[in-house]
Amino acid sequence: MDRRAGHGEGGRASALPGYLPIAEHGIIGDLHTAALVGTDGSIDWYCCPAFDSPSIFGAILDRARGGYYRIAPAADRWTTKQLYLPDTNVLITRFLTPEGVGEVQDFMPIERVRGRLHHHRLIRRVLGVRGQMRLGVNVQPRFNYGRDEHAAFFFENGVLFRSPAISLALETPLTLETDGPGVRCEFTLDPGQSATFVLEQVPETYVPRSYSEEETREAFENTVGYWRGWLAQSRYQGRWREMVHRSALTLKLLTYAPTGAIVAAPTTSLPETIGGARNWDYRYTWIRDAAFSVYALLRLGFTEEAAAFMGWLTQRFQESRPGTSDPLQVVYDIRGGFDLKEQALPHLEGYRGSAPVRIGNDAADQLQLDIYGELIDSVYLHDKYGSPIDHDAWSDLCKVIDWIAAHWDQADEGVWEVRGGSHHFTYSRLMSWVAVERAIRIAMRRGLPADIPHWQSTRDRIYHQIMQKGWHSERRAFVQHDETDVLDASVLLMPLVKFVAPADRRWLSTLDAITSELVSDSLVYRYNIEASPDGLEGDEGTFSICTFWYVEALARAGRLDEARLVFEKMLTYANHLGLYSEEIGLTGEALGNFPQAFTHLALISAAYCLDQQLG
Amino acid sequence: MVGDLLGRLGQLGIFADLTEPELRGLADELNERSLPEGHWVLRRGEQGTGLYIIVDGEVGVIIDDEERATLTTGSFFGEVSALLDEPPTADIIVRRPLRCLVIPPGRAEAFLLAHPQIMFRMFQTEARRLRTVDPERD
Repeated sequence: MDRRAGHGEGGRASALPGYLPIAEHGIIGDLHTAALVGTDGSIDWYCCPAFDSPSIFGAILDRARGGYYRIAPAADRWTTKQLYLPDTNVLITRFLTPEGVGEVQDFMPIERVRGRLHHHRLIRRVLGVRGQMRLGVNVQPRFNYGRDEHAAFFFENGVLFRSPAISLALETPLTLETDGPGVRCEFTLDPGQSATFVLEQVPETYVPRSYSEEETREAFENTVGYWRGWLAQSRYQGRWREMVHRSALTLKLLTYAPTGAIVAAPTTSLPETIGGARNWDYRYTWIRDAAFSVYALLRLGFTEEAAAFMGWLTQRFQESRPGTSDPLQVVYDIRGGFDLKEQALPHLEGYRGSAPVRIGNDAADQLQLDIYGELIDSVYLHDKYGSPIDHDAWSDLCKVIDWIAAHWDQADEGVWEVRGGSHHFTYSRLMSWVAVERAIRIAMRRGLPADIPHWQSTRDRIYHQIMQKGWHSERRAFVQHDETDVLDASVLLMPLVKFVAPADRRWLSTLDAITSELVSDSLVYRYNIEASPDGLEGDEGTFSICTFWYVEALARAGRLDEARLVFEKMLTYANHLGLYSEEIGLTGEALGNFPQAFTHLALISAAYCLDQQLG
Repeated sequence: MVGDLLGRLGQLGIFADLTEPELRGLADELNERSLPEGHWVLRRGEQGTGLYIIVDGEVGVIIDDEERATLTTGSFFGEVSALLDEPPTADIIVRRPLRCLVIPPGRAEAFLLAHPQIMFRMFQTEARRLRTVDPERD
């Protein structure tokens, strides 16, 4: 039997207006997946049941074909505001008209289920606040990135959307009407009235149920309670507390609870420049990003998340991967899988025409030697501030150090995952040094067995090589790799990882060089693309993580006034909710995948460091 | 008429398991009825009322002068009366123009036995109604 409606059949669905700016979104999630909610009331990105599942609402990548779920005033003109319920990931989108005010509370309850289907309930409560407001709801799912057709079946409590791979129920007491392959309805709310819509994953033979107002209110209160209870574990009392806590809440939202993995961002292919081709799938777990996350979360006191990630990592150490001796892959899927094969989705036009849209990520096959440094630094911090490393994990770690000792002196693709060929990147050397140096520290502090003399000699050889080949004597700066005079913002980590003293003369002249060449109005570029082609087409904006590293480097160098001003300026580039994407464009617009974990963890680290330095 | 109705029947939950030829047979077999807003579909105590399946529109379920529920596309009513051959215990009024299928009185048993998938879907819906009445069981 195949009675699925084609997407053009049964009448055309209502069209969604043009693309919202990337920053005009908030995020909700249930620690398995996440949805982006625009300030216009549209959910235009949602994958279910997990972060890396195919999209069901993907209009952010193609307004016409991607699918969306919109709740908005029926009036032609209205203004909108968006905020989080304080200290939670419950998002409120408000609509204001001369006649009335209404709001939508969007949230996903945190379900703890074992042995039965996880529903991933996405609940939208619409409330009348003042005057009278007429609202329209339009739900247009497009399964499997808009590639699969689906059938919609009407039941007395809602509609069942059945696609070949997944079925969703939309449950509401309101009457839904057909709108192309989706559904719509309109209703009016007076002050104090509400209407609730529950979207959930269900078996294909499911009959939609009704949700009482009491039940959805309880789900709302439990979700609020969950987030506030989680955030209450934070020990951070310093400056910029709200921004730091929003970053922590966002990092937690990007965590995949079943394994403890943290995705780099919940989106794919939001472009690094509008119309450009630098569009990547970030719904995976980079060892580098996750290791930095451990650092940030430990700093704030969230030891449970750090421990969960350590557990995930230990499993990766214990696996052998076919066809390689490298201890770790650069990036894994959220379950620890190796296969991230990259492919383009040519049927999607991409955000504002930024093609190609990609899923999967070929960076998984790259050699990036720096990951071991970030990783072992996070192990070191967890051993120190979380729980001491156990015997099996230490044995695995010793094997990694032995592998680094044999392999550190080779070319790789580096931290920025260039696709223009391998080099001996200074940053990769720096992080190899960190890996061995932190392992020595753990061994010495804990009295654990290790070939310390061999490790020390490896560490020192790396150190000398950086000082000889990574240092460009004419430029008086540490440079990107040993065959160039190009600067690279990644070396901003040198004082942060304690490779150089913050006031070392070589370092201070490097900092000056970076300030004059890579910093533009306080924002920091990764490197000069023209001077150092990276094998990719197009331009890119400034990298937010580099700007936060710059803040830390300035603060550690004692240039506190400068550091504080750069930090404060950087805070103005967050969106209305305190969220950041990967990059910032020339006119201050958010670019790249959104929200990005790397940026938020760097914000936490910079705020923590700067606050301490300011005293 | 049949083409339009056929497409619509395919979207009703209780027909979700039927093939296209089965749906076509159903469209031929059942009576289609349309009623305007405000019209009574069923009256309490009436004899020989039949089983109604809503294709489009909305009805109110009135018990003891109180509107207790709204039924819409994909819902059905009159099944208890049809199965027990007893008069309905509620009044049903059209709230939004109604388009429905009617299984005449006395034919409900034969219809359901001939279409076990529809019977199963109706049972599921009845089970869901029971759970709604007693949410503790959910």
